[in-house]
Amino acid sequence: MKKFLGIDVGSVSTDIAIIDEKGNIIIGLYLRTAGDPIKAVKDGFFKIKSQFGSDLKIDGVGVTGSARFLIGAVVGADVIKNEITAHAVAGLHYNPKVQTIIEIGGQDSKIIIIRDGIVVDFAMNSVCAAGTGSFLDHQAQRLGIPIEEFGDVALRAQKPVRIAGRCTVFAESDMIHKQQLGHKREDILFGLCEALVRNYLSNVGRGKEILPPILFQGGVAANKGIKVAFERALGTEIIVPPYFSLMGAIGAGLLAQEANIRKSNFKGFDIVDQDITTRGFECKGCSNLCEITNIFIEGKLVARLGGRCGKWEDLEYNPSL
Amino acid sequence: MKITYPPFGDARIAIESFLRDFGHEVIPPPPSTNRTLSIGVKYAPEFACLPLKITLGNYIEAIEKGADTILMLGGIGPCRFGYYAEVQRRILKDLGYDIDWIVLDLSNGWINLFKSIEKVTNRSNIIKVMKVLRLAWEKVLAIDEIEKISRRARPFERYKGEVDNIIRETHKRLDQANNILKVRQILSEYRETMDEIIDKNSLKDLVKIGIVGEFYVVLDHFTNFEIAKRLGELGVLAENAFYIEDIVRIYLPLFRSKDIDERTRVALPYIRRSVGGEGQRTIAHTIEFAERGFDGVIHLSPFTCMPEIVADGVLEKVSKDYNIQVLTLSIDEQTGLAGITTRIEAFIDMLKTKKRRRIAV
Repeated sequence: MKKFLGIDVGSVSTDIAIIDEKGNIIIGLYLRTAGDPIKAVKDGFFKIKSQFGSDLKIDGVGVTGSARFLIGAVVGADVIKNEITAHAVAGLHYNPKVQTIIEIGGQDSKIIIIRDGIVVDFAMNSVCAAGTGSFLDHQAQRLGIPIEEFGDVALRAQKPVRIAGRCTVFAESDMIHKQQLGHKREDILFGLCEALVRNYLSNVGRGKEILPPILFQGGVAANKGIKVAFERALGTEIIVPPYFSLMGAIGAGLLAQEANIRKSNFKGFDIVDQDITTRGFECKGCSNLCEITNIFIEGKLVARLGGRCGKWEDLEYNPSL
Repeated sequence: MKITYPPFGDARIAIESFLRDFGHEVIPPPPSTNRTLSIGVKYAPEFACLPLKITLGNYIEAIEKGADTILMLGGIGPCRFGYYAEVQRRILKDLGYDIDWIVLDLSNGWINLFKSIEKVTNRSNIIKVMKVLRLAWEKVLAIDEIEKISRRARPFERYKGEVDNIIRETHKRLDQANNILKVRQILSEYRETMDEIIDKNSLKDLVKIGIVGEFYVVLDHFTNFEIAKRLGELGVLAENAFYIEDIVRIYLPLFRSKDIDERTRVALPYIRRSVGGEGQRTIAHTIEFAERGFDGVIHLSPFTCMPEIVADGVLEKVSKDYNIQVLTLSIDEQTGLAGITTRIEAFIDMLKTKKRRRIAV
């Protein structure tokens, strides 16, 4: 049975999935990126290696997420794709009839509109992080609730209060204000969920025809409060797939499978034991002043990223720096 | 007098040769970089539109190189652009720069306009003026043609950067060209080189995207994150709704052509009268691309640009009525390249899948 590796390196979490050719998950990992995507991927590979041994054969690798170019170069990706396409592919695999995908991650949120199995429209949050995972994380911390319990506490609400959700700064001060008026914690939390859903629907979802079946993907889908708030606002059922937080990685794996690769570029799980370093510099070749990143594995230059003109992609090119 | 000017896109080549031919010492602003933008952002009002900020940065960088005079357009409209010269003049004055301005202001009476024109033309006689204008205009047409052809060539590049290398060389020669014949010769040589790259049989299979929006953002490569180049490298045929020639024809009465109002007419059911800037034209151009069978439209708008905000609100309906996908990118100094890349890639993935499906059916 062929195996495909999908990696989704986002701002907050790094997700890794290995799937078989039918798209079934063999292993799925959810790790914190914590500002160091290379280390996060290495941690993930270490876990895979200790479970399956290092000679696990991979037939194709897909990478997505905001660090896709860097990680793609480090692991030797066959396919490097944007998150929107990856999420759409995974959603369609899970439910071929899906018409709407709501995806809320650490720092951005998206809506993908699908008709007859193809993406026909999408949108991403443009200016503000209100409603994304990092903000919920921060508020949970401030209220002293572990983020894992956020949803359950919120669902205990009996009289949700109205919170201004247009902007994270206003939302936070409004929550403090409501606390000081003596509202219950759960009422405030569910009020926050409703505010974020309102904000999502009027910004990201503006002008989009949201039809069922609707899938809710991304880390925030773990929050039952948000799910219920969406269901109430839209008046329809919201489906949270079992691997909601891994959908990006699964999509990347599926894209690698679709690409029909004869021989994968994958560098293997052994890169966990290797010394991977990056060094950046500013190219002064023209007025673009591109920030070039050199990627070294065991001191050997393996890839260069960031140049616009293409000359740095030739690894032999090495003027006196 | 050491004169400088607000650059946008490749128009600088024509503006520079125009000023040089009148015998001015020209200090061209250094090509825009993030430093230019940071300088502009630092001294401009926060809610000013992006072009004001970048050109302000351009002026200051040119002043650092010795410029003491700035040539600029001004007047009433077409949007806040009309006030740029005055706002920028005051900002530079407050910063302590002692700069002369030559503002070609069409609203300030014919005498003042004539005085400004005299300064620009260096009191040359009418024959000389016509000759210089003619050559600069020929260069504008050539610059546009170079850009248009490059859009068709980039998807077929044999190595990354090939087309840009050829353009860079051609621009250099164009800058030096001192008569019309020379300009035409350079252009025809360029055309031949590009013809070797373009695979004519595959052109029709490419995904086609039209670019509409505010003129500075659409035409200035630095400001729009070199969107045409990125699209070309992703194998897309990207066409602008307008090039430099069109902008000159829209905004300079001397060159104004009637076709412009004719072309805007299709927007009337959506926006009945001009809303300033390119607002109404953005709608017209989107419809035009839809009717020409394009797969999608990318709408470029500088953050806080009122006419484009109006257009953005209407585009949703146009997109439905004409069944064309529109991606609006709002650009300002906060815009991150990563966000733009993700959106463009996903947009193209979507259009490619749709196109494949349409062909299959």
